[in-house]
Amino acid sequence: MTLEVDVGLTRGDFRLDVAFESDGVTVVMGPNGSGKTTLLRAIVGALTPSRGSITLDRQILFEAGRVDVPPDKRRVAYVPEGYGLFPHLSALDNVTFAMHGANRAARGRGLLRQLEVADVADRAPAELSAGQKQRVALARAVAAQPRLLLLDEPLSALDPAGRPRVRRFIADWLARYGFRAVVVTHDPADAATLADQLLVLEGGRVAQRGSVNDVTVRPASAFAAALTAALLERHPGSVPPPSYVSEDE
Amino acid sequence: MRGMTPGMDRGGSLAWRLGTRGLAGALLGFLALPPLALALSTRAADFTRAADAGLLEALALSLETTAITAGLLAALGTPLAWLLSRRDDRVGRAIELLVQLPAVTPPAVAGVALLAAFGRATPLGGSLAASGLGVPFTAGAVVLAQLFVAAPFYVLPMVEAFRELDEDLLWTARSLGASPARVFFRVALPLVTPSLLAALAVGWARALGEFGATLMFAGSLPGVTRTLPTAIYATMERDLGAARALAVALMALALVLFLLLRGRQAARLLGRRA
Repeated sequence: MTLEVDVGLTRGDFRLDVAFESDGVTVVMGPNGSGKTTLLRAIVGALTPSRGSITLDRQILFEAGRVDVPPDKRRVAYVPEGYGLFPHLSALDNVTFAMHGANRAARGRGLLRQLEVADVADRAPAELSAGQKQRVALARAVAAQPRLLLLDEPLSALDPAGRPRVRRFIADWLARYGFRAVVVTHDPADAATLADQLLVLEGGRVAQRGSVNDVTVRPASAFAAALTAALLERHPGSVPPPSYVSEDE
Repeated sequence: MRGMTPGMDRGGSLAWRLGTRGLAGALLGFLALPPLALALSTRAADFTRAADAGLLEALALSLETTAITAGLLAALGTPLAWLLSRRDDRVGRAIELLVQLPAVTPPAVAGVALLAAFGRATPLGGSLAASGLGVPFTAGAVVLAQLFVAAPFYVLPMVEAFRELDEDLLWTARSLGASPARVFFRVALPLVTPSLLAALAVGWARALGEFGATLMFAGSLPGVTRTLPTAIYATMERDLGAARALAVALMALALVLFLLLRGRQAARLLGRRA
């Protein structure tokens, strides 16, 4: 397994205590306040867990009291909710911010082209649509040559009508370049399209972990069951009928 | 023209509306009267006599010392503000209170305190004087007095400005491979530049007006430590007209600096009304 997380941390009244492994794309879902973003911040290195460890490709990124690799040395690129573009830099400068070495401008334009936003290279983030911002943010994240992408609600800023197309685009893009990612979302459709593995967080703990099939066929909690219902309702056919349904027929 | 938002005042009684406007108008009038009277009562001849009383010398010294103070504020105050903004614990809050102290310290007290620290009779001041770096009653003392009283007016707003930065933006920058120094210079600093200029304008204005601590710690030696405020004080007893001209010069200088540092903001404010 390439990413191994087993950490605990306390912030005020909230306690996060999770353990999971991830290869490919792990989608994290859970009710508000279940610790999804906190988990991402811990992997980034923006929060220091009080116990446990984080390992990526066998390199220990964090081990409580012993190892704490600074965020800029982890090669884990974070795309926060709202995309976190630097407002004072153009789209291209946002991308080259994450680059080293020669020909940064040319390479940056290449990445923007790959994400189909080369035409907005010289614009400020404030002049971009939500969809363009998202692609610039993805280009910038990849520009840092990370071993792992962390995406927090990558589609929530987009209008609902445009989401399926963008979701498909991200899924294809992640798959084509073999990017590994942890994606936080509240939209069941994201899980159905993106996830190699689904992690359900509730109250700071892992309520269930497995393929989307595993979770929807045998939901282990009310939240997971609601997730199944939402998928069946909005995307008929995206979830195999639960076993008890097929047995009846 | 942008209309005013429908007032909370709508439908208020006549007494309420006249009362609030009357009280507000009284303060506005009081605030406007002195500078207006100063500008109107000053004659061209006053400037000639002020020039004889060392107007240009004092003006140059004020400009020079406050420019150095502003530079020191930016160079020393910005790192302090950044460090304070990054911590949220008792030590941080205690240091913040400490930085606030000069703002509530009466200038006369600041002057005596600076003498206590750097005076020739003190260990630090004595050894500095012995090595030819005696501070009191030099232009350096003017700068130190200004720095002491102006620091809170620069540092505290800057702490707030840095705190208002989006945390996620800074962590994102780190995750993209940027060192803490790079995050500071390429992300944090550019984003707080408007606040930095505003805080610098306030700090600079405070330094420009510094009088009490300067007089006690640096004195009022013409050409050496006599800034515009101390020159006004020195001239006032002999020639009120010349003192008025000096005051007009100081007011004009403050206005020019204000427009230089906050001009864009002021223009925006006026533009919105037009």
